[in-house]
Amino acid sequence: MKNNKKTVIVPIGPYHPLLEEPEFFALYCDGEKIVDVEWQAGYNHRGIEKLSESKHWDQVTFLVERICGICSTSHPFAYCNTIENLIGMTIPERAKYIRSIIGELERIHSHLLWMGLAGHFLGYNTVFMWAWKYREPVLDLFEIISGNRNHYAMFKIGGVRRNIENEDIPKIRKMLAEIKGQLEMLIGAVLDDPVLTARLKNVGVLTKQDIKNFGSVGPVARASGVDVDVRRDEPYAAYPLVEWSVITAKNGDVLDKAVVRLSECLEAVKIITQCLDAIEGKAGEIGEEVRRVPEGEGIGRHEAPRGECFHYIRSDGANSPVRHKIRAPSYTNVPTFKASCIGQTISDVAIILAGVDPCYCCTERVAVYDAGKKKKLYDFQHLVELSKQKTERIRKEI
Amino acid sequence: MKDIIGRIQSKLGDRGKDIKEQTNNRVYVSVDRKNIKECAKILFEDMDARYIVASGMENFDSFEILYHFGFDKESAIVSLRVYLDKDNPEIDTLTDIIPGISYIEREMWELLGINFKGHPNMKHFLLGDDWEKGNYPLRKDKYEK
Amino acid sequence: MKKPKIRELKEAVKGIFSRPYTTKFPYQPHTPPPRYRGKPEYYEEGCVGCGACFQVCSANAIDMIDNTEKGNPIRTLIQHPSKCIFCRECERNCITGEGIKLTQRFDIAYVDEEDVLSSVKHKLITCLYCGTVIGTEKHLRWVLKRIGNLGFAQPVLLSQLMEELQVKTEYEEKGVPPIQRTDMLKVVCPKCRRIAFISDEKKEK
Repeated sequence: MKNNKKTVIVPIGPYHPLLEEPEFFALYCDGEKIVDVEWQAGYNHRGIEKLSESKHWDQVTFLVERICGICSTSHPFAYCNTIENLIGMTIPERAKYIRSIIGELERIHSHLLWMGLAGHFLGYNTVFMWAWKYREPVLDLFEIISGNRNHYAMFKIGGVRRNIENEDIPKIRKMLAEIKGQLEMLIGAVLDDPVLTARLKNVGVLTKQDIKNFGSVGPVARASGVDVDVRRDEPYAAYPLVEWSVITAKNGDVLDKAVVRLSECLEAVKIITQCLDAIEGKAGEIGEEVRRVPEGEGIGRHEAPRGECFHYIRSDGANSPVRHKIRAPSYTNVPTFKASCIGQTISDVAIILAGVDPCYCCTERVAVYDAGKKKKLYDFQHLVELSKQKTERIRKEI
Repeated sequence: MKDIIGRIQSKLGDRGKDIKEQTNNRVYVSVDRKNIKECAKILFEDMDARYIVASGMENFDSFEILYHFGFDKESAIVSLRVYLDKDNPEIDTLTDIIPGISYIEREMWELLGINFKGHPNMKHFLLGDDWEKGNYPLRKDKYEK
Repeated sequence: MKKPKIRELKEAVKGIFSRPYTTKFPYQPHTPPPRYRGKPEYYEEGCVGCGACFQVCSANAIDMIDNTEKGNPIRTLIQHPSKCIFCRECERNCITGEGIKLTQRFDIAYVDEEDVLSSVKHKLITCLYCGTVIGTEKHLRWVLKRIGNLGFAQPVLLSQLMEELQVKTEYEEKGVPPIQRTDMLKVVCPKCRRIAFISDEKKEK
């Protein structure tokens, strides 16, 4: 990347309204093809691990919820699993079902958000509008159950904070049936389209060895054939009590990633329906009181929409953690750009970047520089335009 | 669980001490820092474990790094525990065995001050390039001399 | 252009003729669902001024100010909605259950913060000898009501009962500071009670 005179550097830089969160990538290009990728993060570093050492155990649940707005339940879920692993306790059964319902509803809304963004990067603005329109009933469901559209404050060490009332359940079922119909329509529309499949096939391929080297998890790994899913490998909450299956694909390109994510939405609807059947009309405790957290260390994890979310806690018996280590799933998924972008063209970069579904609170400004003259050639807006132009070209061919 | 403890014990031999299941499905192994490269290689390549993350922390009289590996078929997480000197914390890098570990090593260097010998690209990752040298944010105030 | 597929066409036609998903707020009022977590409000009848909400607030959005000057000690609790994260910890830990509650009010934009603050004031009981804060009057009387006859064993609670029944001791009428063992039955903090019990000396006025 250093010695080729014709190498052009394309920085995809921090603040851009189209990307979800700020990150910085520098792409080194040779003509149209990409030769190397460099990643700098930290534009949204808020010092949460250090803050967590000054809050007491119950307040940390609210702190980690605010790490991310899209996957806002994954972090409290993993944190509560960690403390319950440290103490060695189990939670009441009704709490298990409620936790799984919230986790799966979040999976649906996160994958629909991704679908909209991917459609936008390819030039399919209708997919963008419809996906986000079908996402609204899911957020309304959250408002009915928990009181807010984001940051649900439902998780507590030892259970959940609020109950799902029996009179709300028929309404939830009705909305879920509507969402299922709309999801099936959207999935059919996207996957049957020949232009989309031609555009996404064999783009950004990740092999099994790449997945192992970077430690990637979630739909990114499952799309390459690596069968890893925390809900099945180490069952927790209500996942061992209901019937569902893990979705994998073979090729590892962006089309497979889309297929895996959309099929997981339908599996999520199946899980929620079974959980609702299990709790409807019955009474039960929703939480156990935890007064003290003893000395020790614990590890807990949860399958977030983007992969495995991992928390580690060391405690010395006091009111706050001594060390709280958090690893979001995108930490291992985003570096796979080094493997998937090399050899691809600039017009595919936007969709490969989006295919990993990065969640780092980023809006980045992409800039393309000419290495010799250090003159800015393109920015991210133009890269998305290039991507849309390629889609048009393919459409004309078909 | 006993099965995995037995396999790790036999593969690591003398290098792995105190192999114990402390909480449900979580195994901790104490390893000396001279042997970390061989032990990580055995777990990552021979036993085909999945690399998860590494976490560093500061204690009263030492630094501690935990390398977490996932054994998905047995539902277990095995963590290798290494203690480092308080005055001069340094350890070999594992980037040639696990390419994806380079980011967390950069983060541990800039937040805790642990030196990784042989790292190919030790630059600032989360903090800005003009961050004050010697100021390690994740160290504890109460342990400062 | 290729023939569009039938199911998408049906959805597109439905989309043209149905109304948009957004509500018409602020031109029409919007009622959130019943368990919506809106802005917290203090209720003066239910609050006893114990300060539990101040201690558990995750975002430090509640201030507790004890003003012990000028012979009229007052405790003020103020809740700032600008710092609040609407987590409901204050409502969950309120000892009476009726002191602070989350309402359904979601529209709290303001120019002057005084318009949206919620606060409550209570009278404080302080040690007659050294002036330390013991608790609010309402809190002590709430405890007395809950423990019933057992309140007779605690001098501070007993003095509150006497005040409620409007029975004055001669020491309160004359305004003598507590120094003798008999002064133990007055309103004193634990430190002064120990001094009265152990020292038990006469002193000049």
